[in-house]
This record gives sequence, structure tokens and C-alpha cells, in this order.
Amino acid sequence: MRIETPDAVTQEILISGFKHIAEEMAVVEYRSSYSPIIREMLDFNCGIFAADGRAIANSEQIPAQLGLMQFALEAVIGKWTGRIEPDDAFITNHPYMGGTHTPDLQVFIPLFHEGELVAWSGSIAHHIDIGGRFPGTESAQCTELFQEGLIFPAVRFVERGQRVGAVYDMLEANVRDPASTLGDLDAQLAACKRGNQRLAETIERYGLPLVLGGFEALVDQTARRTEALFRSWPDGAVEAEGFLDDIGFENTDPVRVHARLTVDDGTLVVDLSGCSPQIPSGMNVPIASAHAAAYFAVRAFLGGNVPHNAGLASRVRMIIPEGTLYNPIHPTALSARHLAVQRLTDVLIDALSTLMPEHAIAGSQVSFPALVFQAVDPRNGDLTLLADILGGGGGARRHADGDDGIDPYTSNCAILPAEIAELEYPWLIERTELVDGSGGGGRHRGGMGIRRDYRLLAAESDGMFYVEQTDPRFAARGRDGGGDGAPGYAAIQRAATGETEVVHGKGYVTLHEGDVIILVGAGGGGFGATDAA
Amino acid sequence: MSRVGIDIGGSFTDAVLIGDDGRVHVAKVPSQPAQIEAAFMDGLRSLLAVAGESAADVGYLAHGTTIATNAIVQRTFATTALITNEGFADVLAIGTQMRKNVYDLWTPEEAPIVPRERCFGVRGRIDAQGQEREPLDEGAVREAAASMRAAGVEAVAVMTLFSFLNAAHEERIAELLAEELPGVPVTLSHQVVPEFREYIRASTAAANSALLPLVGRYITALEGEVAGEGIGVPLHLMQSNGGVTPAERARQLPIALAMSGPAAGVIGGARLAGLVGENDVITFDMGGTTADIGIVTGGEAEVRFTGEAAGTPINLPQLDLLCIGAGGGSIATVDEFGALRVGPESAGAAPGPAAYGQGGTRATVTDAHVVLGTLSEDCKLAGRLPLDRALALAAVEESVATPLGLGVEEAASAILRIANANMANAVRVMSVARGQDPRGYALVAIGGAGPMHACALADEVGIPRIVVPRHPGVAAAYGLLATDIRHDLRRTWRRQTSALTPAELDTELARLEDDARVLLAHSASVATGEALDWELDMRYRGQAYNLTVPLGARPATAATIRAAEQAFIDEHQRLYDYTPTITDTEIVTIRLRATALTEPIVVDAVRGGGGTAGTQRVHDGAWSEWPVHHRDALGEGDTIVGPAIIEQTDTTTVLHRGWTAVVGAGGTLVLTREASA
Repeated sequence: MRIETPDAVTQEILISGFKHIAEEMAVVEYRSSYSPIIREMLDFNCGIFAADGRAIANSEQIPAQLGLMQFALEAVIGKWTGRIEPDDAFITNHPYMGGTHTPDLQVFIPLFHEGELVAWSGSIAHHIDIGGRFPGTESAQCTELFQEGLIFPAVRFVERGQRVGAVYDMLEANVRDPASTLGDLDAQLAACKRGNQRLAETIERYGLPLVLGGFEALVDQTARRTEALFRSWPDGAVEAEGFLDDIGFENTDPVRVHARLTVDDGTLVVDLSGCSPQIPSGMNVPIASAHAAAYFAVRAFLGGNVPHNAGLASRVRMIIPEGTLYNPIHPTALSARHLAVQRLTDVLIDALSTLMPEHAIAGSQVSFPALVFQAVDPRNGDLTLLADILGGGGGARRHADGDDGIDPYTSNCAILPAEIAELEYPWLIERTELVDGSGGGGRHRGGMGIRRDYRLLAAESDGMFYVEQTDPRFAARGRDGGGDGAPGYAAIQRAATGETEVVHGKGYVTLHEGDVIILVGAGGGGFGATDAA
Repeated sequence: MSRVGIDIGGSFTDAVLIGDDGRVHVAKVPSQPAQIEAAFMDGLRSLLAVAGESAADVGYLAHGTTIATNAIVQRTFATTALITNEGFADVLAIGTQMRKNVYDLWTPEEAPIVPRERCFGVRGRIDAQGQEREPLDEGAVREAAASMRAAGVEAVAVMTLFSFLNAAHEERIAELLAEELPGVPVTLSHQVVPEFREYIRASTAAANSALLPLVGRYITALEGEVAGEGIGVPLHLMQSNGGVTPAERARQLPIALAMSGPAAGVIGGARLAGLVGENDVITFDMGGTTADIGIVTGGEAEVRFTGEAAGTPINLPQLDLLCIGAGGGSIATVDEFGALRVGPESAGAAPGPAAYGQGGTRATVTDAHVVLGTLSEDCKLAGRLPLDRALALAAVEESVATPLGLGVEEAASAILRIANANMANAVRVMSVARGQDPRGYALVAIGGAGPMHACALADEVGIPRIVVPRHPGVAAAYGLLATDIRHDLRRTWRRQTSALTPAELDTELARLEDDARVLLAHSASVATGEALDWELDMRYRGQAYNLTVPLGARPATAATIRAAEQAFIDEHQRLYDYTPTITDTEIVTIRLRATALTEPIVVDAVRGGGGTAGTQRVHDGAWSEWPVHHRDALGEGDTIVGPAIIEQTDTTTVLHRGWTAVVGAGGTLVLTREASA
């Protein structure tokens, strides 16, 4: 394909156009989506890609979904190259073929111009349930991939514009809320079609060679920017470590997360060789998600002016040995990957704070309280799946307190409005409040965690929940003499006895009418010693 | 009787009077931030003097104000408290728990309008069916009121869960507060946002409460001044929804004034385009710092139902506008990697563009125009500032030409190309991204800089026609007179479409209509008629986002419901290009737009003197002489073939090669691109 390098001004115009296309795709997706994970929590992302799968531009929803679609697209291209036709669409979620965890369905549609494949549009979205052992699919207590629902190993599910009925039939038969899953998949396809339509219009306007030149210019400009910024960082290696409470089962050992960062000739080397070996639970991390954590931490310390695309990726080198927590071997379970992703991000932020003390920040909570419970709503007989994610405290800064009640780092999910929880699900939200004193003390205090109490109004419900960072040894760290944040916890109050019991942070339970499950997010770390005077 | 509109902006107060004979008079006076009422009265008196009329001749008075906007930007809020359910006192502090700047770990999130210590939770619950689950603890309300009194609280917001289904607890709390805190104004969440989602109801009520004392005092003072001047008609104020509202109502709902100014610009631009028969328009209001883009289809401006004030969400209907940081003062920079950016940083009014000679040294969009000759040195911007071309040249040379290795004219062109591309992206967001093809629209260029960029912007997005109103700089004040009195009412009412009966829907419509009649009665003395427009928010069952579609007039019938459902299906297909696998639909909210009509505007014909006022050297690829026309000299039917410059005191219209301008009704310029171009 002929490539023409645009002049500096046309280049800027093309680049901002690419970004707008990705953002427009995102609007199409969330405004026509079904499950609250997408529509309320924005757990999805859209992007456009070069013909060879390199990322060009993304929308900016939660960072945990940013910068990892290219791994899955490479697998699609690797499997299908030579057989890709116009108006095909591919679906993939295989964690060991560049995917993340199974509930994240990725959709890619190729764009052809005059018979030639010239680009791709893609969408990744976290679906409420993709089948498997537990409602909501993901659980720390899965022990092998095969418990984690339906797996799509880069499957063509639309052939030349015709849906492949078998794929849809399989999907519908294997998930707990097929209406949401199929609706959200429709929304993903619509977003990708919109992306390709806009890209085609751009090609119409500027000609293919200039648009392809724009792709290269954006990637190249980003790489040069990233390289120059890395060169401005202090030399030398820094390291940091942190721990997950356990492997997900009660009375198991903490799991070590360790990172060593080296700036080397304009490249940042992120070495995770010091991390724990893979663990026999669902808390391992697919390698694509480990990259998302690193990109988030790096972009934050690059000052937020570096877009995400293949140019950034080319200047960050990850070393992750096979068989370890962040690069497990098939068929290790990994559906509850997000806990270790957040912990890794926290460790990287800690290391970067050491490298650049003027930007140092105390640790934010990484407890990530979440639940998914299924219950039949007595008001209408519908099977419902309640999902929610709670925030905790942000880390304090040198000049300001930490934020209260946030879902930090690579995550940025909204809390489910209590009125939606009560209107659409058989639950009563008894309280949603900040936990006084949960932020670490200091000259500036850490942010406070959130507590939410859910009372079941249906006869029975089973589901999974988790809260990480329940061990005070691994609480959000204070900095420069600031105190640590309070840990998070989960508790259950049984209607039969009226007693409230703090339970292990990751579990799968059955509740009965009137029982209350209580989730509490951890507090953030404080900054600076409290003035004695 | 004459109709008067007065729009107070940041720098100028614009006043427009339209007489019975259709003659338009305009006055512009400096705004006085310290004494807003004084600028209003100055504007009014200057206008009456220009028009040769007296206060007694004024039959209608409408006002656009930034008082709420400024209070929000500067956070000059009243000391406000919140009462809510026990266990939910942190509803504002927690918000959605989302961060604004995901990658900026160092900047704190914006503080809520009501701090934690003035938020009180009291026992009592209404459930999701609207039934009382636990009675209200009245003693706790009185205790909270005592704490508020001690804290010097000036206004209170009340939000209890499910008040949109059953307002008994909110209303009882209001009664108790009236006893405990007499004279302190109160906002009940179900009255401002009768919809589900507790945080957005609480944040909207809190923002409204925080403005009640300030806006209440302002309106009272203004009403006194106006009456003292001898004007006998009630004052109406412009709202974010593009309609005006009687002062009586604005006093209770000040948050609805937040986007008053930009909304007036859209309405003014749209109605002025209507003079020359254009009903599908994209309004392009470009000033010194920002450009506002709005879209009007079939004469109706697009409305959205969420906005933001002081970092918190506001759920009230407002005109759908996109404001981007692109104006005459937008600064051009080249970073160390050779990337050229224009805006959002602005040189503002001081120091302003380098060409103003007030000490600015960084190149701006205005400087680029001066370098290229589209703004001449003799042209005095806003009637006051001479332009210095040497300073503009130096700034463009140093900020852009040298770092990029370009000639100075090329660099100036690059600045304009980037600015135009940014605005073109904004136009695409407002049109193509919403399923509208801009090629079917006319661009209405208003604001001081709009007519300078209109041709380039239209070329960029493929718009074939441009409308430049006679007085682009006072379009917002004109909008005040062109719009109607408008009240938006709504009620959450969730039903599966297939399961509802027309009778139960009509009962709900009747309740809303009763509420609307009360509001319309305030404007009876100035209204010439009224209209009730019904809408439904619908979605496919299970979706979270709704689309708003029209519902036929009352009474509701199986046919009107079916038509609304079909409209929803069509709109979903148009916007998202698919019909989902599961096709059950549901109604979420019923909306009523109650309009009291005001007199339609008639404007007098304009007779010009004709002739060109010389030529000007302009660079568009190469230097050439362009003819210059004075707008005052143009009469209806005159035709100008581009390239040309058309000057007037409040703006300059740049007519590019390939465009032809014809003077239409009321002196409005209609620019058309040659079919071949």
C-alpha cells in the first residue's frame, strides 16, 4: 500500500480526526448497551487499528481496557490472514490468544478499500455473564479456565454481512442473561461499523496514502514523545513490592507482586520477574491486562499528554516470565484478574514515586469491592443479576488530601444508583456512606472508603463477592510519614440470628430473605507526618 | 407595543428593540460585573433613546443573564445544607464515585456544593413501589434544622429516595423546615428532577438551592428598577432550554438559567436564519475565547437532559450545545515535537491578540487574520481597537513560522486550518455523530468571529449555505425576543409499551397538564397563544439510555402510543444503525413542553446605498486585491461574488472564492457555494 507522509498541519488534523472516530464509536456503544457494567460503569473501550493490528487511536473509558486490544487482534489476524473478507466480523475472548478474561468480548471488523484490507475497528466490553461455574462468571475461586465460561478462540461470527447462526445459538444457550449479552454484542457491532464508516469517509476525503501516512505519523510522533520524556526521567533502577491478601481461598499465603523499573536509552523496562509464580485460583492475570496496568502508570507519570497507541507500546518493554502471576500458562484460571491488576498498578506507582519524589503520591486503595448475585425478583418472576462495584480512598498528595470514595488507577467504574438497584433488582440498599477515619492520617489524609449494605428482598440468592486489601499489613501505604489507610472487609448479617459476621474477603454464598451483605472499601494512604506543632 | 431583549454578557450588554413597524434598534453598553442591574438599566435607557421610545411603549421585556453562570464558575454559592435519608448523607460526597481526570493522580476532585458537615440523614424510607417502608423521623428533621440554624444555613436542598414516586417525606420535611427555619428557601428534589437516580436528583437540587438567595435578590432588585422606570409588563428570563420563563418561576428554579447566554445565541441564530427560509441550521457562535455549536432541525433546537455545574451533574433540559476552546483569541503553539495546536488557551481581552498592541506576544487566530489581510488594520474590532499588523507578523513569525520552518503567510494559514479543523470536528460531533448529515443544513454564523470562519468551516464539513444575520454580534439579545415562554415538565413512569392501556397513560398526561396550566398562567398577560407538546423517553427493554420521541396530542390512544413506539424504533435505527435482537420496548419518562407563544417577529426591509468601499490585499495561497463592502451600504437583492470582504462594526464577513453572497430579508446575508466548487 502506498503511504504518503502528511505535512505537519494535515497530520494534526488527521490525528484529531482518528481520536474523534474512536470517541464516536464509544458513544454508539454505551448509549445502545444493555448491561449496567457497560452502561453505568463504562467497562469497555473502542479503537481503530492499522491493517497489521497496531493500535492507532482509542476512546478513553476505563484504562484497564486500554492498550490491550492489539494482542487479541494479532491473534485474529494470525489465524485468519488470507481468508478475511469485507463485512466479516470476528469475536474473541480467549485469554491465551491475546484476550483478557472471558467476560471481555472483543469484536473486530476489517475495513477494505478497493479490495484491500486497510484498517480495523474494534471494541472490547465486559459482559455481565459469559457462563461458567459462578453467576457473573468471574471469581477468585475458579481453579481452571474451563470454569470461566464460554471461550471464543478468534471466531468469525459474521461472514460477509451474514450472522453465523451457530455462534449466536451457542452464546444464547450458555450464558445466564442472554438478553443483555446479545444486546451488548449488537451494540459492539454497531460501534465497529460506525468506526469503519467514519474511517472510510476520511479515506474518501484525504485519499488512502495520506490516511495511512497519518497512522504512521501518529505512532511515530507518540514514540518520539515517549522516548524524549523517558530520557528526561532520572537514571537508575527503582523497585517496589506489594502483596495480595491470599490466593483467594481462606487461610492461604499472601501473593507477592514486585516490579523493577529501569529507564534505558529512552525505553522503560518493566521487569516483573520478582512476582509470585502463578497461583491455583482465578486471580492470575492475562498478559494483555498486565500491559494495561503498566501503560496506565506510565501515562500518568508522562503527564497525560501521550496518547495510547503502538508508539507508546514500542517504548515500554515488559519482562514477564511464563508461569508467573502476570503470564500464567494455559489453562490456569484468571477471571478475577482485576485485583492483581490494581495491585500491580499500585506497585508501579510506588516505584515511580520513588524515582520522581517531586511527584510522589501515597497509595490509593486497591480493595475493589464487587459482587454479582442472582435472584428471582418476586415482583415479576424475572431472574436478575445484580452487579456492583464500590470505591475506596485515594492516596493523599504532597499538597492535598486523597479523594474520598473513588475507584482508582486502571479502574473508574460508577457505583450503581441505589434507586436502580431497588427498582430493577430485589434488593434494598440500606446505606451508602463514607467510613469515617478510614483514610490514613498525616499532613494530608488519605481518602475514605465506601460502605454499602445490601438487604435481600427475594426468597434466596446466590452469588460471588470479593474485597481485596483486607489484611492491614497490605493496606494503602502512607508516604513521607503519612499513615496507612484502613483495610476493607466484607460482612454478612443473617436475618435468622440478627448477627453480623465479618467473612473472608472472597467468597461465594447463598443468602436468604432479609440477609444483608456488607461491603467496605479500603481507605487511602496519608501523606507527610502530622505537624507536632 | 415594542419588544425589548437585554442580554448581559461578560464584556458587553446588548439590547435589541423591535418596534410594531418591524424596525430593529440595537444598543451596546459595557457590562458592569459589580453592579449588574446598572448595566441592564444603562442598556435599556440607551436603547429607548436610540429608538425614540418611552418605557410605557414596552410591551414585552426579556432578559438573558450570566448571574447563575458566573456564580457557578466562581462557586459563589449560598451556605447550603442537604437533608436526605439516613445512611445516604454522603450522597453528594460519593457522587458516581468516578474520577474526572483519570490519569491525573495529583489534582483533587472538585468538592461538592454542599460539604459533608452540612449533609444530614434522617430515618424514614419510601420503597421502590412508592410505599412507605419506614415513617419519617420528624424529631431528627427538627434536630438537623437546629444544626443548620447554628451553621448559618441560607438555603436547603431535600432529596429522599423514591420521592419521584411518593413525595410525602420531602413535602413533610419542607413543612418542618418552614417552621424551624422560616424564610430559608428550600428545593425539593422531586420538583426539579422527577426521575430516578438519587445522586443526580440530589446534585441538581443542591445546585439549585445554592443559587436561590443570590438569584432571588437579583430578580427582586431588577423588578424594582424596571417598575420604577415605568415598564408595566412582567420580566421574563432566558433559560438553558432555549425558552424564557417568568421571573416568578426563575426565582424558584435559578439553576435553569445556567446556560442562558449560549442558549439565546442558538435560538437567535436559528430564528434569524428563519427570516431567509432556513429551518435546518447549525449555529456557529464564535467569540474571543470559545465557539458554541448548536443544531436546529425543522426549526427545533436539539435538547439534552443532562448538563454540569461546578463539577456536578445537573438533570434539566438544556439546549444541546458543544462549546470548544476556539475563538479569535485562541493561542497557537508549537511544541518541542513540532505539533501545532490552536487553543483552548486564549489571550482573552487582556493582553489579547498581539495585534491589539496591549502587550500580547503569542500568535492568535486574530493575528493570523491580520497577517493574511482578512482583517485590515483600519478595521476596528468591536468598534474600538486599531490593529497593528507589524506586531501580528512578529508574533506569527516567532510562535509558529520559525519553529515549523514555514513562511509567515503559510504559518498564518496553518493556524487557521487547525482552528477550522477543530471546529469542523465539533460540527461533526453535533451532526454526523447524531445521525444528521451536515450537507442538508445551513450554517448560521454569529458572534464576532463567526462570519470570518464560516466559509472555511462550511467547506471543511460540506455545508452548502451560510446565513450571516444583519447584526451577528447581538444575535443572543435577538434570540430573547424570538423565542417563546417555555416550561419543561416530566414524570418518571416506567411501563412496558405492550402492557399499558391508553387510559392509564392519559391519566398521567392529565396530571402533568394540570401542573403546566399553573405555570402558564404567570405569562397570561403577554402570551398570544399556547401549545402543549408531549414526548416519551423510550428504550428497548433492558437498555439504560433512552431516546426521546414525540407523542401525539391528548387523549392518548392505542394509535398515538403505536406511533410513538414506531418513532422510537426508527430513531434507534437512524442513530445506531441496527434493530436489536430483542425488540420489546418500554416507556421510562413522560415529558411535556408547555409553551406560551409570544408575538412572531417581523423585520423591516433594508435599503442600502450600494457600491464598494475599495479593496484590500488578502493572502489565500497568493496575494491579491479583494473588494471591500460596507454592510450598511447593502440593500436587499444585492449580490456579491467572492472573494470579498464585508465589514461592519460588530464583525467582518470573509467571503471566499467560490462563494456568492445575496442580501435577503432584513439585510440577512445568504452565502452559497458554487455547485462546481
